[in-house]
Amino acid sequence: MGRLPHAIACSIAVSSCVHTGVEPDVAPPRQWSVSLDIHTETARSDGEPLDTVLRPLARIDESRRFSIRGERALRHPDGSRSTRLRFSGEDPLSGRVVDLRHFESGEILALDWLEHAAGPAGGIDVISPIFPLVSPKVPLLRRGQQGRMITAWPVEVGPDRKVTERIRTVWTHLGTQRLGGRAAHAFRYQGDWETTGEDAGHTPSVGVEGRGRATGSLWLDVSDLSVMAHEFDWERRLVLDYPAAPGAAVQLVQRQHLSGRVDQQAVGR
Amino acid sequence: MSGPVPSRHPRWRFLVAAVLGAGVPGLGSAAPPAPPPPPYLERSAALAALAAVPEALASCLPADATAGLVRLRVRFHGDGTLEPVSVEDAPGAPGCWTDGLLRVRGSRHAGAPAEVRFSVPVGAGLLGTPLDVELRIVPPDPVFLHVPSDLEGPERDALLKRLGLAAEGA
Repeated sequence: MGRLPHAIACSIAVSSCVHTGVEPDVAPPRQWSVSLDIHTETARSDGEPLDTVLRPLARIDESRRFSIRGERALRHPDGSRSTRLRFSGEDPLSGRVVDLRHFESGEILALDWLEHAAGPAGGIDVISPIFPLVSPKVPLLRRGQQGRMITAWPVEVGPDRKVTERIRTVWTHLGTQRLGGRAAHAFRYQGDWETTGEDAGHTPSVGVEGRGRATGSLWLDVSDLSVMAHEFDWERRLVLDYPAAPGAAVQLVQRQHLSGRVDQQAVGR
Repeated sequence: MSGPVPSRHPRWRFLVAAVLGAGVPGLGSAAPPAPPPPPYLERSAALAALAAVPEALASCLPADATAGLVRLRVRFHGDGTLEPVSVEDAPGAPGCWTDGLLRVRGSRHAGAPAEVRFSVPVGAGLLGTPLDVELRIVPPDPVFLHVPSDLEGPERDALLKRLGLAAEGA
């Protein structure tokens, strides 16, 4: 039997301890390199061709490379932790910071300061899957076992702009493998990806609905269950309603395909 | 130069005096009479004045300010003029704030803030002394639709108008 169930059980037990208040978290920082390939295609849902103004949306291909440094900041009374994620590298996200509040199990409670990463340059629309990539919620499994897991995380860009991302996946524990000279629990997952919410920063609000699939492979360090590597291939069909478009409402359908890999790096200064 | 300008808001002045521990006349306070309080600016007056000078407030922002919270310390003269003293990023800054909405008109491209939500601390501040103002720069649109990262300027403005996202007056 692998050590994973014991290790996760121990970490859950630790995370459920009652604390008297918020405490500094002295856990060592982690750092990951991220390669993210983005391919999107956009069309009108009514089948009309895109006009001149909308045509730049028709097809977008981007390759993004950046690093994320996760610095543990606080332990909360409910056992959750706040980890400050700092982006760096040759990317528009460089220098931005997002605060990830999560349990040791990987479950994400909140993402703060997302507005720092939002907008065309940051692209919160396509980087929101990054967060469960570095903080995945994995079911308790023995080698060879399969298990289901629902992972949801809120994407709130200020008080009015909120979507909930949700993946319903089947996980398979592939056993222990060597990765970069270290032992890792290997997993594979596949399932559905849903997005629901709205941008109420406008009146009337912009509706956001998405459906798709998420597949990936994950390696967790045997010693501390941190993410050593994560290969991902996620895609969805996002429907966005723009009821205030002049003349007549516009509904756009954007197919987003995100793929790439996250690798843990040696922590630099 | 003349002394402090007497407040035109006696009730406010009374409360401020009480908060500052100046004693409440007529309630048997044994403390010697306190000097008149400095000229406080009433919160609503501060908000009104700030709203009247959006360009001045926006001009306090650094050119590379991104969406999120920025805390400014400005010297607010109450006559519609502002003088920036310091600027710092303040993600998640706590505090008791009163919100207002400042619409910055004009171009929304290339980092120009589309909207700035500003907050001033409850109780406002002293005329002529630094006042902390919290600015929340609303992320540029669109938020959840992926657009080319190099779509800027008139093309981006046109896209926002096409989708009905352009701010009033933009």
